[in-house]
Amino acid sequence: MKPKFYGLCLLVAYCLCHPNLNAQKLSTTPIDSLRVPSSDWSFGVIAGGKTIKSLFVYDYGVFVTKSVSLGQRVRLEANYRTSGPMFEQRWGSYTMNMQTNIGSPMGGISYEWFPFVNAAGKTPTFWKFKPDFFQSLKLKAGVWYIQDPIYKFDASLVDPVKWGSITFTPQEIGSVKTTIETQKIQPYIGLGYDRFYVGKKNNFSVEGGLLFQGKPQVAMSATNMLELTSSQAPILQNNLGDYQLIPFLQVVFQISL
Amino acid sequence: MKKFNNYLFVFGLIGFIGLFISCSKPFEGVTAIVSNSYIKQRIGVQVLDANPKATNPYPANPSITLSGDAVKKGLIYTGDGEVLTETPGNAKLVNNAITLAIKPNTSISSASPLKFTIEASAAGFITNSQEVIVRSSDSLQYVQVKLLKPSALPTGVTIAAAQDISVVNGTSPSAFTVKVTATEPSSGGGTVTQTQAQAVIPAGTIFKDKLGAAINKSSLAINITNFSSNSPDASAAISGGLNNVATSASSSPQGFISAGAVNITFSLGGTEVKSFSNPIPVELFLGDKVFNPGSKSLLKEGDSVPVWSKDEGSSIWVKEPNVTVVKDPVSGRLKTDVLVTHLSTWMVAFSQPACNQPLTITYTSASKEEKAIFVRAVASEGNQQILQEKTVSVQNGDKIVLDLPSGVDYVVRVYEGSNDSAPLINSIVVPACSSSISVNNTRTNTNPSLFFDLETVCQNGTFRYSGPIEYKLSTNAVWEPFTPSNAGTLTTTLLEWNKTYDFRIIYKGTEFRRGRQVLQSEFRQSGANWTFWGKTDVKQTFFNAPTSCN
Repeated sequence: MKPKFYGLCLLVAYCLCHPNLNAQKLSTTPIDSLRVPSSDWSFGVIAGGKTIKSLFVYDYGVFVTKSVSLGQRVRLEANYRTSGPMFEQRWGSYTMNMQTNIGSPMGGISYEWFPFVNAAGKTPTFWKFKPDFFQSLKLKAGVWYIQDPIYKFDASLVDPVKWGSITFTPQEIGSVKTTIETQKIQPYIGLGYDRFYVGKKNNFSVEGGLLFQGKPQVAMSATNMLELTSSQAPILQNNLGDYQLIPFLQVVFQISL
Repeated sequence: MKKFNNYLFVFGLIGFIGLFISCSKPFEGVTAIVSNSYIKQRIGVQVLDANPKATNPYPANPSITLSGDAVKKGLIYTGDGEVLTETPGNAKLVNNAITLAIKPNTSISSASPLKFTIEASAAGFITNSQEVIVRSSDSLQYVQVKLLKPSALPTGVTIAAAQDISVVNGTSPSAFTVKVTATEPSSGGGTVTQTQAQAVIPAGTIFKDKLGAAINKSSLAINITNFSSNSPDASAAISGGLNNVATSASSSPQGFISAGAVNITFSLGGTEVKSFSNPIPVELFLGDKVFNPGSKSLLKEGDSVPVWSKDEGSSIWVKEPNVTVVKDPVSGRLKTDVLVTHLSTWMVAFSQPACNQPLTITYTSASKEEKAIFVRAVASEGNQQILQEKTVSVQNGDKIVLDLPSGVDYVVRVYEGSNDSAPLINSIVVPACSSSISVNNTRTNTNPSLFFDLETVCQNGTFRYSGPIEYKLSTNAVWEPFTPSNAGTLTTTLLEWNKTYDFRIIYKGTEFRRGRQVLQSEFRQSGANWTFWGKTDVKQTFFNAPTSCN
């Protein structure tokens, strides 16, 4: 995980350092191509999510942003997190039906920086990408507060189990209740494509990055014939040690005021 | 189109990073463990020679047949889930043993425990049957069905075989006497040969088969087996047992105080005889310390005692006319004359209805270990006839339930082990029909406390065995209950350092057997327990559970 995270940091570092590099590699265009929006404010709706393999967690909500200076904005957002209703997982030789129960209000604040939007510098062009493209690129960092940062699963066997001449239904076999608790404060960094500083009144933007949810804490309780499965909690806990950093993706519809 | 490409580029870049990061599987290595903990009651069954001194305690190739209400209702299963029926041979023994299970989720009320009968037979042995009672608290009990071998009988059981070649064309021309004798200790310190039973076949007797038709053959073969009430082994060998039995005289189960019993078989020219044209008088000598629950004193001359008969294959004792006890003018011993009208087992015995409530024994122990406990309830008076025996697996707080007859006080003896040769925990005198007693096991055990993990990992999953395990010293012949495995783990103090043991699990019609020496150098102490590691630094398996993961 760490080398992958470092890769992202290198990408960010590249953006931060581009004025020193673009003199050699990129052609430039004058600043007058920038169409600064008439208002500092925008608002809109967000839909996004993240995936832990076949588990999709969705966030949706509203936001408001304010441009604090040219190429720099602050965003406040209020979201609700939920998930897909059910997914299947292989637990050893058994396929488990995992009912999810994930739902929590969340709020966030973030800082967005458009590195190619500035009053004095030149806007680069590269290959087929025009200045608009670079002026729409942004780096962001922020923090989410999740009121109930717990993923809850109720896993039961998809198929019945035969014991000699008796068949046990998944209900008779029992279920495994699993909770994965993450931290309430979850910082993140990311990048996005946002045409706010290109002067679009309404536009879609995409954002993504990595959020830090802390080391997930796993608890399991099981019933009936699956009672012993609760002994597997440490394995899941150990596996989720890799999931302190989670990638996320958001699609934003934004209206400039 | 150009803008779309821009979106696509950024979206793809973010997605690529996301996929790159989330490529490990959170549930990798997490396995659903489906255990057989749904089986709440198990019965470990063994078929043994009734003679405890037999060189080979296991009759060869025995078979068992189950019968009774619980079997008819489809509640009795093999330990691996196959339903058992009353069809002979349906329950297959593996090396004389089988584990039975009660159908999961069966509700067993305290007022009506499950009952069924195991009838066992083997070539060269007399068929025997035993009733099994399963209550909800009986998570694991052990049942031994013991078979009598005519050529090697336990103490108190004697047999007489005779042939009357004078019988021609189905009729005896003259009276023929068969006498069963036994050598017993005499009052003077030596031994004396005593008559146990004597049958006189009157002249002119016509012998009939089971359909009531006269058998017109020659040469009568006679076998009479006597069960002395002076011997606990002999009373215990009476087919069907003496406690919680069904009788024609009552709709409720009865317990017998036996004064004596005989089993009589005739065959005429190879055809089994069932009845005769006239009754055959059998002089039956009775035990000298039989308790009469009616008079609350020992059996004496002039007492009237009920007589019972039970056909082979039947579980019902049929009430016959009472007999009166007389004193033999020569020996001074008590005896009675029984008029045998058909060939079966005949018993002179007092019947007592079962108590309205069973006796509940609460087992307490400072140890958390699950142990096999042997409980024997005997009559406190008279010859201390065995009323009920039970071998169960218990741990602190568990309850053992005995169904005992009324009208007689008991002595309840509890042993730490599977039979009466195990160390005695306690012996308690209990008034008739008491509802509860407590037994506290304060025995200290110097054996090491050994922890075993029986988890078996195989291709299609992980198997954790729950159920009985048997063990024995490698030099011994009889398998005894080992600490049972509960979800693949067990802690035991049954093993001693440096001794070599055999272990076995009967599962899915196969005996999984291992032999190992318990070497202290191969165990590591962790707290109060020792865990097996083996000879290397990598933890090894002491013995495997069954390797099937299905």
